[in-house]
Amino acid sequence: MLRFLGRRVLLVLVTLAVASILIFAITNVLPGDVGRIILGPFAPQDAVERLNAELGADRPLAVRYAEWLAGVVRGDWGRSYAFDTAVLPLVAERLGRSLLLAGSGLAVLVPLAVAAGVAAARREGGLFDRVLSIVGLAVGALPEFVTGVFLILVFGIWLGWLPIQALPPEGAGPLTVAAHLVLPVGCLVLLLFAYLFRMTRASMIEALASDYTRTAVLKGLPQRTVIRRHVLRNALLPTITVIGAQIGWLVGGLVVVETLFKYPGIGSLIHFAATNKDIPLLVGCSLAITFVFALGNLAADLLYAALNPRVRHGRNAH
Amino acid sequence: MEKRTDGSFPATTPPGPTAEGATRRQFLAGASSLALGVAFGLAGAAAWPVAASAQGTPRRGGSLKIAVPAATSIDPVRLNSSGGIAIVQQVAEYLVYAEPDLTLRPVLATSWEPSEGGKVWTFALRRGVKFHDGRPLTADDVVATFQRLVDPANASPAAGAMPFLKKEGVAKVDDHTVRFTLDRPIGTFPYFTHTYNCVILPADYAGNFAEKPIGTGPFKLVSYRPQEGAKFERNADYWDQPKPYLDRLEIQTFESPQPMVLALQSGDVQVVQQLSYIDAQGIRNDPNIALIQADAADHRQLCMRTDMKPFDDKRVRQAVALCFDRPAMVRGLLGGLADVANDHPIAPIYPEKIELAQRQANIAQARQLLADAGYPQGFPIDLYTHQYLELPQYAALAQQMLAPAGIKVNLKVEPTNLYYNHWTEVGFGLTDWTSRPVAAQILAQSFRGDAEWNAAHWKNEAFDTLLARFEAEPDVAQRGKLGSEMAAILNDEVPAVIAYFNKNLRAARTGVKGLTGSMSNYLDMAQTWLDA
Repeated sequence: MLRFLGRRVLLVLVTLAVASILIFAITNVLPGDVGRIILGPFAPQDAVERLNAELGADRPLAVRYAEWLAGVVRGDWGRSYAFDTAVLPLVAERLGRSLLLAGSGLAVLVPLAVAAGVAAARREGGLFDRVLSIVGLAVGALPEFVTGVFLILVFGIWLGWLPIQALPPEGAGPLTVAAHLVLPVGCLVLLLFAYLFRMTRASMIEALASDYTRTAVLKGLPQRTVIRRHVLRNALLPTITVIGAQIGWLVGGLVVVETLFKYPGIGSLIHFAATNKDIPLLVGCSLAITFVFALGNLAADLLYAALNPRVRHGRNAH
Repeated sequence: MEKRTDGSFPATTPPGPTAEGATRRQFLAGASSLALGVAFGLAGAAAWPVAASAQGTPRRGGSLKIAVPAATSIDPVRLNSSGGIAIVQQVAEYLVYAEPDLTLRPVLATSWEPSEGGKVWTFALRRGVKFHDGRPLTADDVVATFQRLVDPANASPAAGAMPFLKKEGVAKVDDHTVRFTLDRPIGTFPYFTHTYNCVILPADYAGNFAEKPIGTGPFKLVSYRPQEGAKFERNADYWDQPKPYLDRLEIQTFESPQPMVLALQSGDVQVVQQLSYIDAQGIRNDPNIALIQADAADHRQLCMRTDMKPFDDKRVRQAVALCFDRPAMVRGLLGGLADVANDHPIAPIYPEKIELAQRQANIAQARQLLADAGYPQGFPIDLYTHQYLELPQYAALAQQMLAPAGIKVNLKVEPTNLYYNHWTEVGFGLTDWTSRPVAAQILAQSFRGDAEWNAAHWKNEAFDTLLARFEAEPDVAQRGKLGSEMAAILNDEVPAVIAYFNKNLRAARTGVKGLTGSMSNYLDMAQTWLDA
């Protein structure tokens, strides 16, 4: 297990190194001229060129990459062109916020969707199964923009029960923070429920129909034990992989939810950086999100290995 | 997201149904999302309930939250985003302030005098004004501020707004007098000192406004956070007592307009600094919210490259202008919140009154002109614009309105930052222009023969001569005559179709008093108070 972990951690580091080169190369071909974007369409051209030179945006890519890498090694991620502020603290703060939102979302979503998926699979084709499948799919197909506005209008404005902005006031207690997160988390759950629910349900149905389940039932184990020890353990494996792969997206891809609920996380930060060609900021955000992606996959793999001994022993054995 | 003084709203919603000349489906062709329509329902274009401004005796105290569009840099020298401008305007002040009716209010300058026919301007500064750190405002600070802005070593948008002012032209006369010597006479120069970058900063200002904010303004900046906003507290030493009335102010920046409107509806914010008529649909009938409307000179220029086929022929450009049903566009695209325009940028808000017959839509005449120019069957053409405000819908509408004349428009709706990279190079481009307090600014930036932003690449010596006289002329009636001559040339030559002048909207919850609209969407909170 330790050796397995070591190899995976090494792989994460290699991934990050490759990602940083790719991110640098790709951001360089983004359309637009950063000096023009900062100063606006009506600034004189010589002012734009002067600003580009000042920011160093006119130098070769390889030089900028080498300088950036040297900075990162020293813990200096550069300065944002547009905000004129250090990238690292900004990215760290936003990443923390996004992790809180994604984590809260998963904490509500996973037990809910898995429990519903298991229940639906056990009575396949029943009323509960059919209603949840159809409603879940219909709601999940709506963009978060629509479900979010709906939640805000109903619970924030008409009923007035919940704050519509996700960012709590400074120094708020955990309860206030939680209250502010209810609506965006609800939006996330509505968006992702159907996917996870159907995933769990399908794996459960497959596992229920498998030989090992039949064997377990035939050898007289109580149904509860069969489900917990044999069915669930196998059925959840693909679901775990899917959640692991989704974590990076959940942390960095929630631009619409963040914008709608005025929750400045790393999603809206990276969106800003990309549309404004703020390359130091874009690279910083991308790297942070890549890191979360890699960690998410690593965690899923470790959990998978813990649940499925074939994985952790397989490679060593041969 | 982009940086314009008039906002950063990506057009994500279709306008209301429907104007004559365009069906709803045609509108939707240019719209990218239905979401807000689903949420709020689509209202038609009818009369607007619009609030009157200040009433009653101002009260001291209270705090207010304001929603503004996204901000980037808040360094006054580089500043160009709506949100950034609104934040800086609370902290630092201009020499003069152009009121909604374009009269000039003395702020840090108490009086100004032209000499040498408008080439030299002498400003007397207000005495007893202190910066937030207690230092007095002197002529040195004003001189340093303007030298910093026009110095080629500092990249500032202001340098483009005042091409006639050089660093050497700004000089101190005595501690409270500053003299500007311009390259050429400018009859309306005081208005130019109201360009958004031109807030007066201390002589030793060294950048880092976010960390060391300083000005003479009614509020002190307490904190600024990227993509979140800024917090302010009352400047107890403000020179214009008893203003400001509010104890605290918070400006929240929003990346898109819908959350702003929702925040206003829920009471999370009390003011939305600017919003489009589409975004205002959901709140127009809310009894708790008042809409404040301001006339403006914002407009869209549909520019045609006069040095390239097919628009090198004046008749083709005239034919394009004849295809537009302008009253229908004003109703359909803007819910009536605009004035019909006549292919020149001198808006009715300006003191210069323009005498010129209004161009009406006439497809038959357009077809005849195209036939005369050698295009009896019309021609295909790419129209470039960007995802901003109603521009995509305008472009879709242009496609419909030009079709009967045989002009087959292929739409190229680009992301804003991409469009601004080549907007002066495209053959046929639709660009948004924001208000300037002086008509000459827009004329000089977009239609002077050698102007950097002359997207039509149009050159007309008679026009340039008139423009130089117009810029120099201090007398309004004379400027009106010169303006009418220039408008007639533009209307005849049509380097750009200018179909309407937008009005600006701002929204506030009831209880917010003394808040006015602004042609530039500037935000003056010194006179605003809360009626508890």
